[in-house]
Amino acid sequence: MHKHDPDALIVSAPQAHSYLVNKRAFADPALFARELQEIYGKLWLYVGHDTEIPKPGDFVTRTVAGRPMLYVRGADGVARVYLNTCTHNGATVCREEFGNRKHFPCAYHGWVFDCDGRLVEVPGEAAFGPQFHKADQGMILPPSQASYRGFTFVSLAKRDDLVDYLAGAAQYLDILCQTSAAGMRVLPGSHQYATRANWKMLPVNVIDGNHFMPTHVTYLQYLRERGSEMKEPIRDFHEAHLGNGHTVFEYEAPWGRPQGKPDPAWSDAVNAQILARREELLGRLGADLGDRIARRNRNLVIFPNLIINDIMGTTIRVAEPISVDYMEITAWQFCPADDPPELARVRNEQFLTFLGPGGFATPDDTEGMEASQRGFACYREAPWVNYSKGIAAEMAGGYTRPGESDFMMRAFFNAWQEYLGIDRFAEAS
Amino acid sequence: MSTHDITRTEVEEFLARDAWLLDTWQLDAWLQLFTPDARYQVPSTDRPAGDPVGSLYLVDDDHRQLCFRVKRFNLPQGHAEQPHSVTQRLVTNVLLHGERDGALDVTAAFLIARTRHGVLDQFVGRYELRLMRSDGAIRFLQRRSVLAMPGLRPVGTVGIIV
Repeated sequence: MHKHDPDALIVSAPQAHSYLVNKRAFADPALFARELQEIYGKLWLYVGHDTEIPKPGDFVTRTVAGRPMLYVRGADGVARVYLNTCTHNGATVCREEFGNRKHFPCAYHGWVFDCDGRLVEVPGEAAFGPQFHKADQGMILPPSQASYRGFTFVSLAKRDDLVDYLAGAAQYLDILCQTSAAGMRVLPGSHQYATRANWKMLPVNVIDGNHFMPTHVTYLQYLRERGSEMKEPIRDFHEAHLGNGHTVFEYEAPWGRPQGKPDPAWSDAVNAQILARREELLGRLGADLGDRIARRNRNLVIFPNLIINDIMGTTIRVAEPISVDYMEITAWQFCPADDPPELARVRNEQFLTFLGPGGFATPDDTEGMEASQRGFACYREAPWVNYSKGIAAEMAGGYTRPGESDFMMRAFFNAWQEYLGIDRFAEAS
Repeated sequence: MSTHDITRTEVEEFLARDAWLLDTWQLDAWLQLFTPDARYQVPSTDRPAGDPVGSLYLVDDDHRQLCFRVKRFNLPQGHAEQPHSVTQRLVTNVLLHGERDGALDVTAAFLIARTRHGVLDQFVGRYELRLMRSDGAIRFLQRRSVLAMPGLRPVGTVGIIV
C-alpha cells in the first residue's frame, strides 16, 4: 500500500481506482469547528415544513446549527422563522415545542411579542426614554430564509439563492409533493433521537447502498415472514449527483409502497386503495411520472444534513451536529393528507419498522455508525476510510449496479472539501 | 374473562415477572404474557397522548410484529442487540384504575438501567397497561410505555424492549 499524506482530507486517485477519506474528518474537534463556520454558518439549513403550522399563530420551536428558532405562522398567514431570543435580555421567548399563540410573552422581564414578530408590550416602557421605539425591537430574523414547496430553510449568511442552491434536488421535492392530489403533510409528532457519531455519518449512511445487505438482513427477513414477495431484485436503479453535494438514488424495490405499489402482505382492501392511488397518479401526472412516483423509491440527501427518504414510508430527517462525535437526529413522517385509517396504519407500520429508531433497521444503522466512530479513534495509525467502490467500472465507462458503487459518497465528500476551502488538516486549526 | 377479581398483589407480581423475564432475556416466556390481540406501544415523546394512526409513534407492534421483535434479538444479524445489553428494571408506583371494556387499566412507573458498550443509559417513564385474565393467567392487552425523557437523545435509539 502506498504511503499517503496523513494530513490530506481526501486522497483521490482515479487512475489507481482509489478514493480515500481521512478518518480525522470524523474525529478532529478543530475540523468540526471549521465545519460549523464554513458549512453550517453559510449554507441553507432545513427548519421545518409549512404544513406543521397550518393556522395563524401555529408554531414549532427548532434548534438549527445550535441556534434556537421559532417557526410561526403570522396573523397575515405567512410562515416565518425568527431567532428565538428576546431583543431585551436574550432569553428564549418561546419555551414550548409546539402550539398556537397570538402572543409570546418572555418569562424573564415580560416583553411580549406577537405572532408577526412585533414587540407589542414592554413593562415600564417609559423608563427607556423618548428614543425607545417598540417598532425597532421586534423579534430578529435569521440573516436569510426561504421556502420551496413548503420546505423552509434558513441561512446564517446573507443569501437569496435557495432554488439555485437546491439545484437538481428541487425537482425531487416537486416529485415528492405530487404524491397525493390532496397534498402532503407532516404527521404530528417527531422521532427525536441521537447517534454517538459524527454528523456526516448519517447522510453517508443513507447514500451508502453497500451497507443495506449486511446491516439490514433481519429487516428483509421481517418482510419475507410477513408475506412480502421478495423474489425480484432491485430494479430501474439510477444514482445521481444533483449539484452542490446533493445526491439521489432511485429504484424499484421488491417490497410494496403505500404511495402506489401493493404488497401481498397487506389486505385486499388496503391493496385496492393503493391501486386506486396508482391509477389516480397515472391519470393526473401521465404514465411516466405517475408510474415513477407509484413504483420507485427515492433516497435524497440535500447537503449538508437534510435527508428525505421517499421509500417504504417517507421521512424528513435532519442531523444536527452537536459535537465532533455526537449528533441529534429529528425525523418526521411526510404523508398524503387524505389517507384513510386502514391505509394510514399500513403506512405507519412501514415507517416505524424500517425508519423508526425503535424499528427493525434504524437501531442497526446506529450500531454501525457508532462502531465506526469508536474505530475512528485509530485515525493516526489507520487513517483511511475507503470509498473506492465502483471507480474501476466508472473508468471503464460502464455502469454500476445497486450496492456496487461509492459514487454518491465521493460526490458528498468532494462538495464537503470544496465548502471547507482546504485540502489539508494543517490548515483547519 | 372477568377482570374485577384481579388483585393488586397479582398485578405487582405480574409486572415484576415482566421485568425479570426481560432482564434475564427469557423472551419466549415473556411473549406468553400477551394476548393474541395485544399491542406493544411507545408513543413519540412530543405526542405522549397521541393516537397511533393520527400521530407518530416510536413503536406500535401488533402480535406479529412483537413476535418478530423478539425473534430479532436472537438473530446474529440483529446488530443493535448483539451482544445483548445488560438491563435492570425497577417498576413501582403501581395503581389500579378499574375495569373498562373488559380489561383492567393499570399504570406504573419504570426506570430501566441499560449498559451497552461500557455506557450506562437510563430509560424512564410510565406504563399505561390494560390487563385481562386469559387462559387462567393475567396477560397484557396493551403494554404502552410512555417515556418521560427528552426524546431518545440521551440514549440514542430504543433497541431494547422498554
